Amino acid sequence: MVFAIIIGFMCSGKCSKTGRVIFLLLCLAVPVSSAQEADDTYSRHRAEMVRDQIESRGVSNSAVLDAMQKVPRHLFIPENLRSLAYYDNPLPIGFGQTISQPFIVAYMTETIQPQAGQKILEIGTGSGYQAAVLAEIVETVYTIEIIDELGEAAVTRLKDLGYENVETRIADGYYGWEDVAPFDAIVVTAAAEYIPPLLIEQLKDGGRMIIPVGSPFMVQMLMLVEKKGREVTTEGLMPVRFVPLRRSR
Amino acid sequence: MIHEPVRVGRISLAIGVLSAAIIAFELVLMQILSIVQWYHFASMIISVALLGFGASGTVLTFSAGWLLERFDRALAVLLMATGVAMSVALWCSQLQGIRFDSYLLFTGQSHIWRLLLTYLIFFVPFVLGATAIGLSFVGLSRHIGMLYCANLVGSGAGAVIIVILMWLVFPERLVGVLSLACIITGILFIPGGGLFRMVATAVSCLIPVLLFLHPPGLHVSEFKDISRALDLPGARIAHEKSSPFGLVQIVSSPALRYAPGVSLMYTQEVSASDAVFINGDWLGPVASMESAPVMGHTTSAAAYAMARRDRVLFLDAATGTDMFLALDKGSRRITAVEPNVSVMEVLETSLKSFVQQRQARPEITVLNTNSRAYLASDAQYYDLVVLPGVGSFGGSSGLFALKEQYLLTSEAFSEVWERLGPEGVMIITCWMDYPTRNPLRILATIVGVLEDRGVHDPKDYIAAVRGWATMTFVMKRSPITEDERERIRAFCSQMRFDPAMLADISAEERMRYNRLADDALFTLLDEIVSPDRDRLYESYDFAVYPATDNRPFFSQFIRLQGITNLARLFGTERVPFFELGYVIVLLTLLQVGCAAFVLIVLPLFGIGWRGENRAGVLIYFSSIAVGYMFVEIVLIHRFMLYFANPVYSASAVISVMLICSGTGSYLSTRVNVVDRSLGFILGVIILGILIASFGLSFVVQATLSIPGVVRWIAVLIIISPLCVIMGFPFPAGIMLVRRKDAGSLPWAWGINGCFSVMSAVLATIIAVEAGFTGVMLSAAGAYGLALLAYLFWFRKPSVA
Repeated sequence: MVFAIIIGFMCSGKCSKTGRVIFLLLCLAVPVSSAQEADDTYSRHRAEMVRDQIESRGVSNSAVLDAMQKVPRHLFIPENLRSLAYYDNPLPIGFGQTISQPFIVAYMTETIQPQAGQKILEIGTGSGYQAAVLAEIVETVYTIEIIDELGEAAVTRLKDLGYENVETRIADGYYGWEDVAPFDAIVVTAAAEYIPPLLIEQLKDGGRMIIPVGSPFMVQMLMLVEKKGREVTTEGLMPVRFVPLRRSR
Repeated sequence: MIHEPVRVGRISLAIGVLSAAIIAFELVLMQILSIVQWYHFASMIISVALLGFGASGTVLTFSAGWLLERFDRALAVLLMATGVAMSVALWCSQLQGIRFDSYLLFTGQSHIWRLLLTYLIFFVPFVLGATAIGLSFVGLSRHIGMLYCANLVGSGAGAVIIVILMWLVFPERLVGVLSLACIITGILFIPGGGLFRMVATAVSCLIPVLLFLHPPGLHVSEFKDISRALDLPGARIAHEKSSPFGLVQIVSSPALRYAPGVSLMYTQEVSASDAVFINGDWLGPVASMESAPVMGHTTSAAAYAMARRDRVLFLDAATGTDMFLALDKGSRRITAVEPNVSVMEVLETSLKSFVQQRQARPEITVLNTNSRAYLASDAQYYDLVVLPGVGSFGGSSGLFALKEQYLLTSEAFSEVWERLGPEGVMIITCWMDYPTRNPLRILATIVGVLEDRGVHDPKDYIAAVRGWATMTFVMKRSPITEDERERIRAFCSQMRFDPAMLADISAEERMRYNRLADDALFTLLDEIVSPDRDRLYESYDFAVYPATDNRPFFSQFIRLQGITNLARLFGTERVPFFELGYVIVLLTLLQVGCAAFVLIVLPLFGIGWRGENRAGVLIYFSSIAVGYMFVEIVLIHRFMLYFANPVYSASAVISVMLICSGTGSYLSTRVNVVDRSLGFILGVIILGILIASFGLSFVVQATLSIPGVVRWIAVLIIISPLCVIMGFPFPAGIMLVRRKDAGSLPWAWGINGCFSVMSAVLATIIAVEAGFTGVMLSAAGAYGLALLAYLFWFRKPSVA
């Protein structure tokens, strides 16, 4: 429609040559400014997301909050669902996988206590969003995705967004990433019924592993695995605390 | 010119074939939806079929005259159109823009519209077929007896034949077979011959033939276990077999591994193994002795740590992963019961290679029967009885909330108790869930059994071991000794598990290796073993009281009173995902209800309601519809205990009910029920339903041990008297209305159809909330309303 207006106006003979040039430039600026407006809108939504969904629920690590503010979550989501990117929900990304609810991503990131200079392994790249958030904080993120299509899309996406410190591999996460182990922390987003023994082995002494547990569109519990010497313990973390009703006495 | 008897005979045969095809199509759709989605769409299909029948009444109301003028051609076209519509409906339902996904129904609105569109697509063949049947009844009303007979015999035969065909042909190809049957039948009725006949034959046969030779790929939900398995590198379907028990598929991939909640102390390789799926849901790995060390490092191994287990029984053994653990632990006599013959074949193959490699061969018996039937007939005692695992890692969002699980009821646990030797134990393992539900219900059921047996302190008989992902409960026939408790503690320490329940447990040892954010789980467990457990059952936001045979929905937890709290904590948009199965049925009720009103009742406003006894007609015909469907749905659910399979159960009940109530309908035209005894008949129905409400469970339980084939005859004997009588009220009511208030006739038919549609789904909802007894009592109440309507509005002296 904009193009039609342009053509119509230029052919109408009602405008001087200079005026037509100015008008043409203005019309070309429309899509550019539309894109800018969209970016601003997403940025605003992102700020609201951080304030209302993450900070208000107790995530306080400033590096994590900055990362969540910076990473454009909407670019990790299928285009037809982009308008829902900053809602307080997980969303489908294909192949039976979901991108976690923003709060869960932030909570998991905070729980593994990421710091600059660290090396993190992620099992289950998915959309690449978690890897991008981690990459804003630590030195290097190594991420493994077993599904070809998801992995390839994530590689392209992360590269386009300039995440040079994310190494992606399309492989079976069962074996971890032995070449560059051990890791300060491991994030297992593609959780399975077992924790591969090799992942425990590739976790540094004092390292933390986090695993979200829940069916699609639900994450009700996170499991933290800590390795101290030969001991490996687990802790169930409930980002949403369900306190059973207590009858009055 | 065809002689009238011959013509009527041909039409009766056509109606018989069509009736068989329609019922068969209904059952095939139930199977297909179980494969591509989940089980809870069974009642939706019944509703859609009834919607078709109900709408056909409305169609005939407006077009009967026009159709009767060209009877033969109309019948032919309707028959052929039904066949074509069956194939087209299946093909359309799998198109990308139309197919829906259960998980995506509540992540955006589009899939809700797709679900509605799916109903309407499947509705078309049913309305076409029902219109053909109705047209034959109207056009040849003098021969209603033969036509009725053909309709009911055909329906009954269709339900049986399709069950046989499911063993031989995959469901998506079966639709092509059914289509072709309808089309060929229709061809017989095309008047005249020549080019029209040839073209019509060729075109309409082409579609089902193509469908049979190149069936549409069934697009399984991306969230099903098999979809995710097939996304793994190198994954392929190595073997598949269809049966009424479902589609069994074996997937092979170098990345498929199984080590459920394995201890973090396990450092060995977890070997890849093929995996078995049934209707796309994970069943288990193809087991071997290689899996034994892994299983020995799970909470399930706690029973073997307590004591030696020589005689072990596995109920619903599936692929037998736990059996290899028993073999590894030296068990000498193993019995495995598995109702699904295709799965049993996988199990037997695994065991065969084990047995061939060993010199000392333990005694292994694999039985293909219903586990509850086996418990009812078995006289042996066991050291260990293993029940199938409960739940799944991370949960399934309650998609199995409406699945009857007759092995997880109080009655089942009681029967297991009777089979335990003096030192015998029963174990059941569940995946941890949050908020806690599964462990609580399991414990509640165990405690209920112990309480019934006069045990004062259930804690003495119960142990539980918790890992990072699973919890295994142990129920012992006699008090757990101090020695056994110490062995459990040693096992836990070695594996880095924690004891969750022991008679002398301390708070510290409950969370030594696997900490939780709080001790709420243990507080709840302790309350269940205390005398105050009833108050917990009332106050907890989830229903965790024991499941029973009357209400066997073990995985149904959500309660109306808890929804507000859940919405507040987790967000309103997340609430449906606690129990998708149940929420989808509620959504189905809303959608089919609206569809029924729009398609059946609304058009009737176009002709107006010229009758006089509107209230009486409304109450009578709605009540008998509700009563009939409630009884049918309860019988289907109840006889799941017999057959351990929804297709068998639905097939048996639907065929028997159709034949018997059809017989009753036919007899009602012979006996002049209307003038003499309709009130009495309704009273007998009410009494029969009340007796069935309380007596059916006893009869089913008492006959559970009879052989498989004989169970079909047992169903016939048990329910036929009531079903025959239940066939009287509708035709008797129609005759009354025709005689006294003819203007209400289309409305009578439409109201009955509309309420039948909704009742099929409503019955399931009431069953969840109030049990099968509640549904049956509601059915009795509905027939009571019909009786009142008859007494107050229709019971007048007959006019000669």
